[in-house]
Amino acid sequence: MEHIVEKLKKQIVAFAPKAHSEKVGTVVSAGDGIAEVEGLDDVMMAEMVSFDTSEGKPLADALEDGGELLGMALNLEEDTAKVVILGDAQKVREGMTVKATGNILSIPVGKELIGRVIDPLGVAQDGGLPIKTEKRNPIERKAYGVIERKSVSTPLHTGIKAIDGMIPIGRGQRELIIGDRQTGKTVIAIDTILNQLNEAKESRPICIYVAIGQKDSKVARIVKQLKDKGAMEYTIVVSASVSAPAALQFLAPFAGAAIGEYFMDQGKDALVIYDDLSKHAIAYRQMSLLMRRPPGREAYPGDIFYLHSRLLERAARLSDKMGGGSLTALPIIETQEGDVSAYIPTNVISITDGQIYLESDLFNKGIRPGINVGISVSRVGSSAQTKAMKKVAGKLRLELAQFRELEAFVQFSSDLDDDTKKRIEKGKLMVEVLKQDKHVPLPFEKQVAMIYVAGADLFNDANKSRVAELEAKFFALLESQYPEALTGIAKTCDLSEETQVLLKSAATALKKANPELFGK
Amino acid sequence: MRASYYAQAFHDLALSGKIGEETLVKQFVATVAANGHKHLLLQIVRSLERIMRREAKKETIEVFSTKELSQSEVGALLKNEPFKHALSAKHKKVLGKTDDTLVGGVVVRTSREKVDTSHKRALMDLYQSLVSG
Repeated sequence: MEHIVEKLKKQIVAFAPKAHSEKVGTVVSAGDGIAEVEGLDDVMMAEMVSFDTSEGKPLADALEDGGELLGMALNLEEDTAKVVILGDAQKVREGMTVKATGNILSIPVGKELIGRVIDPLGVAQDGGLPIKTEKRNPIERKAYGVIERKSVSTPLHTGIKAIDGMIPIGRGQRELIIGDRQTGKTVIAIDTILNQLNEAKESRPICIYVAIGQKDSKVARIVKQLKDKGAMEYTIVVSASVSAPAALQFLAPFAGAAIGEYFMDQGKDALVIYDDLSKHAIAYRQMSLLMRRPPGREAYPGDIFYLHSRLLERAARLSDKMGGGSLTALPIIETQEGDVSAYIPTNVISITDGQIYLESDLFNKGIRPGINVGISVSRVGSSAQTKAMKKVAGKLRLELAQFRELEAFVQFSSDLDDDTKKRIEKGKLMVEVLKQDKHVPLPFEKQVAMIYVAGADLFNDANKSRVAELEAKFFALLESQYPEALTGIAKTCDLSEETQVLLKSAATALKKANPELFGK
Repeated sequence: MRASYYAQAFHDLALSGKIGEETLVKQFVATVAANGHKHLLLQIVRSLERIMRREAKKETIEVFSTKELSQSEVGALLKNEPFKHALSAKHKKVLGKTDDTLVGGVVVRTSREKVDTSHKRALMDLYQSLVSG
């Protein structure tokens, strides 16, 4: 204690007050989170400005108020600048002094953020110590050019069979998750984060979950889930909840991208999830209308496409010369009544490198994840798959497509030829195999094993209503009696002939030991 | 053609003194009507008020202190550093104001610049350095 007092005394003695000479402006009007400021002649676009909330207040109140109230100049007009207030807009009064900081908005970045929940300005939201980092990255930054990039070839495993098998995602890719409300979009995102626990520590990507306009209860639940499973050790949560100002909701995804870029520039892999960009577009529309920008289609501003394109272009896989790091983006879009041809969804679909389409009908039928494989696509494709997965999942999409075509004939099954009946049964089995409980991501070697034995017609006579149980027992058997099969796939990322023999033996052994799981 | 452009043109012409006031107003209204922008007259008046307020602010220095200062005291203050070089505008009007919250020292403010030598600011800076140090 005495040591602290001595330190404080020294600091007070050494303190030399100086005159502050600053270029300032004055608030002409303020309301709805926007302040019109006069006098900042040299203010730059997107420059940070600081509102002097201590003006006219006694010293004690000014100190208690604490913290800076920042704004961002977004409309540079003839005589004034319109500033978006990044905080409590109630504190801003007409006549208040505003100072231009000379800096573009930036966020603290570094390893210190891992495991923390922060707002888009880098202020801790989890009740922990204030964030202190050595470096700050600008929130807005130009994306890397073509020369600095390398093509996507390393898989990012989500742990979800349907995705890793048929819509594979690579590191550096942008894959959109799109669907109606309550179809499992966030579950896919969270499971992807959880699945990184199955990756080796040295190749594990840093995960950044950006919550835009979400309920605080949802964010709290997600953080708890990640903490309970140990995923917060490599995850950062950036939250601008539904009660946050529209300006912070607008900034949140850019803050997430800036944090991800820090790790990418270090040669590491990072994954950023934007949940969701529909709410982001709504927040940006609100801000633009309040700043009197001309409304376009559906009252969105004219640069709504540019808003998302410049955000998503920051995801990249860098060349070896640039460090070889990557930033993978999983943006989420919520559709209304399955309308993927609406304005914002079509914008983002055209920007991303593929989409995972979730359907309410499939979800309600019990097919979870409710992925419509027919219209989901990954433009990176098998370049982002291991050799093992390529071998087993190559035919999967085709078989499911054939099954869907034949599904209509199921009710006439007595009139169908044997080959068609076989395809239908096989299709039903694959649909069951691809079902997966939430928050139970599978390591890729187990996915390969299961898809292989199902695809090799070893489980054709399985009881369709007990496939989940069958799968659990199969994995237990592999782990206990055929561990070399799984380790072989995991180490080599390939499916050798020996491993295939082992898997077949395991399947046969399972059949013998559990006859109740087979037959109708 | 925006109301603010008309207002700026009127203001510049009025300041130049080339035309008499009455003639200026008549010709101005006639020009606006001829352009089919008579409906903008109210907005033009508001823009003109804004321009005049802004110009008046540019010419004004406000000096805040905890006790009332005489004109000569203010004049002497503004001739010394850091105010002498920090303030660049050609000011016609100097207003002395009191602000008890400053604790001590002086704050000099124009429409574009602020020089703060108040004790309140110094104490706030000290507090920040102690808290962050």
